[in-house]
Amino acid sequence: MMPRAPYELPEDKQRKIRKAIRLEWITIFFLVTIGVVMYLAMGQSQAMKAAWIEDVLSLIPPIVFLISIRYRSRPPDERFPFGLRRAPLLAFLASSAAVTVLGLYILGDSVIKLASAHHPSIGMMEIFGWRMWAGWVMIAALVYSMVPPLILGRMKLPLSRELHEKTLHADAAMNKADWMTGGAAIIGIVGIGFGWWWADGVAAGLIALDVIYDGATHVRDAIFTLLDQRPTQVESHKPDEAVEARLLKALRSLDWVEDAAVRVREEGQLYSGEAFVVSRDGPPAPRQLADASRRLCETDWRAHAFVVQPVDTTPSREEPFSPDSCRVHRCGLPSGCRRSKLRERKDHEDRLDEEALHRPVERYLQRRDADGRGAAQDDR
Amino acid sequence: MDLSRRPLCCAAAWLYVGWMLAAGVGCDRFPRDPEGTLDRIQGGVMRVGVAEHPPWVVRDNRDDSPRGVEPESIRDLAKELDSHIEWVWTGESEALDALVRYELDLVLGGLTADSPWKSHVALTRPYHTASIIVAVHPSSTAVTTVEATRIAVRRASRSETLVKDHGGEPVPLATLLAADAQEGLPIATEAWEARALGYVATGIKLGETSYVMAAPPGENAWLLHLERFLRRNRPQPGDTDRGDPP
Repeated sequence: MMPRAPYELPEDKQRKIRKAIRLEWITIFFLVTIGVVMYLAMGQSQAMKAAWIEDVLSLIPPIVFLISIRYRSRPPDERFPFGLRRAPLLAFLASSAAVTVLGLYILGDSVIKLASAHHPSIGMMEIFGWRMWAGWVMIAALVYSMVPPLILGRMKLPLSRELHEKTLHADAAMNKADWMTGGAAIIGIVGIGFGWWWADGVAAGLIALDVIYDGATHVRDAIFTLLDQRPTQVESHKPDEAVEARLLKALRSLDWVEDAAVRVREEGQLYSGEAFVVSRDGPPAPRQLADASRRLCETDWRAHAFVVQPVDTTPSREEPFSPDSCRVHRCGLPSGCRRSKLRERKDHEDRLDEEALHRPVERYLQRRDADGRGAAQDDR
Repeated sequence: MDLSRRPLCCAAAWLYVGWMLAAGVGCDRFPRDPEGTLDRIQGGVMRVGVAEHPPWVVRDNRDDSPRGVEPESIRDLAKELDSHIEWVWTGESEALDALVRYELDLVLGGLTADSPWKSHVALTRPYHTASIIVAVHPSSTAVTTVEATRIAVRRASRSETLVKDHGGEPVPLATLLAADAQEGLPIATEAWEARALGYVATGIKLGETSYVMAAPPGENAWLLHLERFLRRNRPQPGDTDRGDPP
């Protein structure tokens, strides 16, 4: 087994990664303090509980990021010839699925509390000898929970774009939107203060919907990327056509290349895949192909380990493949026939063989020739 | 749900929160009761469910009127609120069940903060936290450890479990008054009771029990008023109260 060449981030990106790691540690620190403060202030309010769970859940992305980033940069080896570049995505998929399930749990809990007309009780709290309604303390805790994530989220968003880190982006987006769950919980508690016991359950339900939305979006994005979808931009989720165009341009600018096509996938933050080139004069030398591969990697800091394959023509779409077509190819029949067509022909040949037992040899050969020509015409 | 990109929605949310906070600070009563309990009690009737649990709630044998730490304190509260108390003698779970249906305004019965009812009714903050201690009769020798020591406890009380947990040998008695007769055993009970029995604390503390009262769920104005009152008055068993009937 031949492992792929290890990848090293460019110097400026490494600095940014270190900054992202630092920001994630700061995020964890603040989320833990927020979690503790909210837990201490938390009374019977369902919305506050939902906001607290949301806060604890938003610890997952930074932790996943910090853990998986350690594994990701391990060089490819005999066991993992393609490296572990996708480790963060995989971890992120698992944690997003867990977040979605918890969101569903909070939603169900809130709906049950609403349906059973549960009146949340919030009494007195005493802090440094000052007695007040505990709702005010809860609101203060929620306001605290809104500010640091908002700032950290805004700081992490541009980094995630520059580093092409989708897990970091999801984390930053969640932080940035965190103020809304805090706001919803505050509205719920103020609602309780006004004697609207249902305000709390409604706010909790809204928070749950937000958690489910976040979780489901991240599950979807992680699945799409793990299924090797066409590389997309971090923020807009639109195909990254600029990089594709640059890759094609790099190939076409080679003087021996007449035409080229690329097939690209994302491996974590890297872009990798295959390139197909049509040579102007005769088959290209291995040296030329290696040169083409190197040029592809120079087009973008994310491009890595492209395999360049010489082809006769560059079809935009290849014929469907089945192991059958491989066999037929070996037998000298044109490749790319559909399976049904192949079976038809095979049946026909079998029938011919049977007929051959009863008919003169000449007739058999005649028919077989005619059939062969017909098939050849079909294929053309 | 990234609403932050929609400035209109964001501004509307902040306006709403701002308005609610302003209204909350400005109005005479915040929080309010969904069922209006406090308004009804003020100058009206306070329906109080009482379940016997000496010394917190004691039934006076002569006229059935409730005595004990909790009723005496609540009488003061009723005086403050200019309301008349309607006492209802019931069992603890029946009373709490009535509380959930808003058929009572308050339940007294020496309830503890770890009551399994805490998610169904509004328990107040503990108004009294009693330490469970080991105490000896003044004429007996001092005890330094619970381990492998025979200690008298009231039968089926929390002290019995605590003594067992600390490695002691509980001697369950129907009444602690009998402890002295039992070759001067040390006792494990709440500090106020040990004092009331004339015992001397040994400095060994086994645990504590927090006593609370119960209000209807979600009646936050009433709950807050009650808790402020309890915090001011700190009802607690005096030296004259005795756990055991004389």
